[in-house]
Amino acid sequence: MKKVVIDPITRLEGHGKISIFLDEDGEVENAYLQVPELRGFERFCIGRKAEDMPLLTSRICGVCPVAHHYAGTKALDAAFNVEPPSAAKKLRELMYCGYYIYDHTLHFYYLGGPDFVVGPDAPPEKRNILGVIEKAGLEVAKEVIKHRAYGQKITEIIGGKATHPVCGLPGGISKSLSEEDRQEIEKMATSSVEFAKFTLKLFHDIVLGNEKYVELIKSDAYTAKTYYMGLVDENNKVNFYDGKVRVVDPEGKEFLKFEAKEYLNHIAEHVEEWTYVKMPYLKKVGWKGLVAGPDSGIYRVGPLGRLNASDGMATPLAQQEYELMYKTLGGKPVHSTLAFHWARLIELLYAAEHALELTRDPEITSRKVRNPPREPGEGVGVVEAARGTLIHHYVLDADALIKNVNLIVATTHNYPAICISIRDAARSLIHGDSVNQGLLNMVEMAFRAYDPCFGCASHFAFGQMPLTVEIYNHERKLVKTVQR
Amino acid sequence: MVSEKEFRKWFSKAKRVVIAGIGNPIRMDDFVGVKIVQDLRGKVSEKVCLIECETVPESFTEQIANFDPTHILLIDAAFLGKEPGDSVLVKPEKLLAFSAISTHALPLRIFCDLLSRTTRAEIGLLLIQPERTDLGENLTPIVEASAKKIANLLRKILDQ
Repeated sequence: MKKVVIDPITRLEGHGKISIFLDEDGEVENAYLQVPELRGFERFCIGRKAEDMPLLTSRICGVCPVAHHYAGTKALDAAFNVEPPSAAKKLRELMYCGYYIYDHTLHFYYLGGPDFVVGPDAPPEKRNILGVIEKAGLEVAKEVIKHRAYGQKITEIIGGKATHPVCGLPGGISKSLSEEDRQEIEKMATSSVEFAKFTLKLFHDIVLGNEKYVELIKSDAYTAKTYYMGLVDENNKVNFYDGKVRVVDPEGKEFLKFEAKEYLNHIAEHVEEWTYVKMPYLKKVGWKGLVAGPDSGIYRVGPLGRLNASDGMATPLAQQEYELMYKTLGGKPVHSTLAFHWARLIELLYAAEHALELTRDPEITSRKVRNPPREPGEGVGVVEAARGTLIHHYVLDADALIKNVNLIVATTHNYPAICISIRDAARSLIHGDSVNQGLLNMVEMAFRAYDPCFGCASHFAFGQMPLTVEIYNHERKLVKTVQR
Repeated sequence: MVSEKEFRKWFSKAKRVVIAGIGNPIRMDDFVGVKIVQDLRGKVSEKVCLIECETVPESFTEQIANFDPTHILLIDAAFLGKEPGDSVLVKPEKLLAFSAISTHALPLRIFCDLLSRTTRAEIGLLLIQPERTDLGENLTPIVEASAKKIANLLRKILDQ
């Protein structure tokens, strides 16, 4: 068997890699994404004070700290059996919209989106914000930077810190919102709605206006007919912060709908010998290996997962775009992995619109933002992180110290599907040892769409190339290396 | 270890300086860049803007650009193949041209390129070899000692 390795794929460190296994004929037999595991982090939390959890877990990653902060805070609400006041929930949600504004903007303009904006054929060093500047101009880049900063400013005003918020407490939030701050957020949200509309227009012009791109999105190489999961409100509309977890089948029919605390009744984890990362699947369907389809319990989360699992968006402009996406891509559900990009922008618009709605809610400046916690126990908190459903589950002892922790992060939910997507993209390109830049790009596009999350640590500066493709023959001897 | 002479040379024409620390506070020595910035707080002039970026330097692009610096010093832990606590001061061009292949974090090289297009500043990277980057809240003694030395040097130079 020949083996192709793409390693590393992370920021600047070598923790993640893609291994592609070829059969005797040189065709792709399988592909695996290996990522660092979070179990070490869970052990790190044992014995800590419960109220530290929203602060500690937000350090898992610097880009989605708000999601961890609120999954942790909601788990503490449940563990201390306390319901936050309505105004506190709205403030949490407003801050959460700020997080989505900066995070989805980051992905579209800086990371995954440039695959389309700059072009799938562009060299890798151009497929980022620098390529976007060259293509769309410096003024666009300034707007991008400004609106990312707005999202962060909203987080900072409510959360106390822009990167790692400190506001979440069991039963509420640490401070109320002043009228002056409300007005500032309202201005930023108003501007963000226009920015999201501009971004969608850019996507329409560059991606949907290009037949080749639309065909690429619809192609078999990027299609996986899986189940989908996401939080929905009482009307089955997408909700990032609260609601029930809804799962639809590959035909788009509701398959499950459950409360956060019931997650273990519905999600099981499969173990493969080649990775420490567990592979979640729907218990009711079962584990059938790395295959898609109605008989396989593999599901997807994230922007496309949420839209597929819902009946629509709760704001008018986002709803219009939601309808357009399904009309353009052939109805619901959409199974194209590359449609994650479009779904992400629809959510960007929703986040901005919803932030604006919340700033105009008379209750948002209420001083009643916390209820007292009760006796410690066990709690589960679920939110929709930008990359998908995020579950925090804490067991506290009588002194409110952490006894047990279970975290299921978005990339873990998507892990089996990412492996399928990588394999299918690779199968369409790799034949024998003819590995080239096109292969790397196409394979990368399959997993970049998910925006997978890997922990950040120290960074290599010298001496190691960031991306290597190694081809081994059936005797495991290295026969070719491609590096960039 | 970067010498006082090297620092002085690099800062010789500096008028407005951004010092940005990068690193994860629960990854032991990975935090060294932010720790140095924390040690400098309150000890340098108002012409020095101190930023604790933690793991997302790209999120501070606007703040850095708005300060209109002549010099930007990014401090980060990096595997240099040197002794723990050892450091180098290099230009961003010395970083490999890492592409933004994956994840939602922007490679440092691309971040530096973005800064060079949104500011007119000279950009330098102060990279420090970590000893341990496991989960943990403190620097190792050797890297902590190095961080103190560097902070003292920077304070001495930037206070003038």
